[in-house]
Amino acid sequence: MTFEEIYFEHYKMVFNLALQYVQNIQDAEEITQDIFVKVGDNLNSFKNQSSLKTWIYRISINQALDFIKAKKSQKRNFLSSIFSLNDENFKFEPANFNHPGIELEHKEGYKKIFEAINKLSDNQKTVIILLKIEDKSQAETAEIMNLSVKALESLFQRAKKNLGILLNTKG
Amino acid sequence: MIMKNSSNTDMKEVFEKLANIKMAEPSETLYAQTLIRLKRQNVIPLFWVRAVACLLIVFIMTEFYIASNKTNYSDNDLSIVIYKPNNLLYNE
Repeated sequence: MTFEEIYFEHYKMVFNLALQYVQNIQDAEEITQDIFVKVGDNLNSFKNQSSLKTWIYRISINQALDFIKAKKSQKRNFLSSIFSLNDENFKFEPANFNHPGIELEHKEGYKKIFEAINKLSDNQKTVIILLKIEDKSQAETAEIMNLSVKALESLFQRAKKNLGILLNTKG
Repeated sequence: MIMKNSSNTDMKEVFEKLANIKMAEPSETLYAQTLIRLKRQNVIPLFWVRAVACLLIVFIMTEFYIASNKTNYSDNDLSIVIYKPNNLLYNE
């Protein structure tokens, strides 16, 4: 498959996955570009140990999480990084909540849900996104995240519990 | 028990909402932008060019320093300044 073919087969999936992590179009497009640059650079070394789609999913998730970490560290100034070891003060908040997959009249409700999702750990966030937004099966999600189905189920239960706590705390 | 059931219901509603999120379409120029960025990746980043240049300068200066120290005489530095008289008798 050529790069062009790979791009046009997967670009919507990649863009929407990035959107679930950052909830705005500009950041999602930037992440999508980063992802396909990485795919293009590493295509020759792809060893078919997993399917191409699973490989692209893994790159997408890692790039999205790296993007969020980079944004967090930009917010942190030098003095704060010395005195504050707790990352909670530097939570990622999207520059503008502009998710095109959400209707405008429901924006506030979804914004609260995503604010809670953004506070979860990377793995918990990912499992919620893959299972509940991307509508992947447990088997597919376990393969993407390189976990056993049992470990995935346990991770999902923790994520669900923490998400429930975060949403109830916000009232 | 009732609280647990209501929180389960809440999470069901939350997950139903998440499942209703529609797929979005990225901009049409995204492919072109991606190709531009991909081409830029094949050029050596300026950071590494500068890093190698700095290393070369440090290496050359180190070599120069070592070489200049080797050409120095075996006596100590003060021997240049202090005159050592020759104590041999002229008619020995």
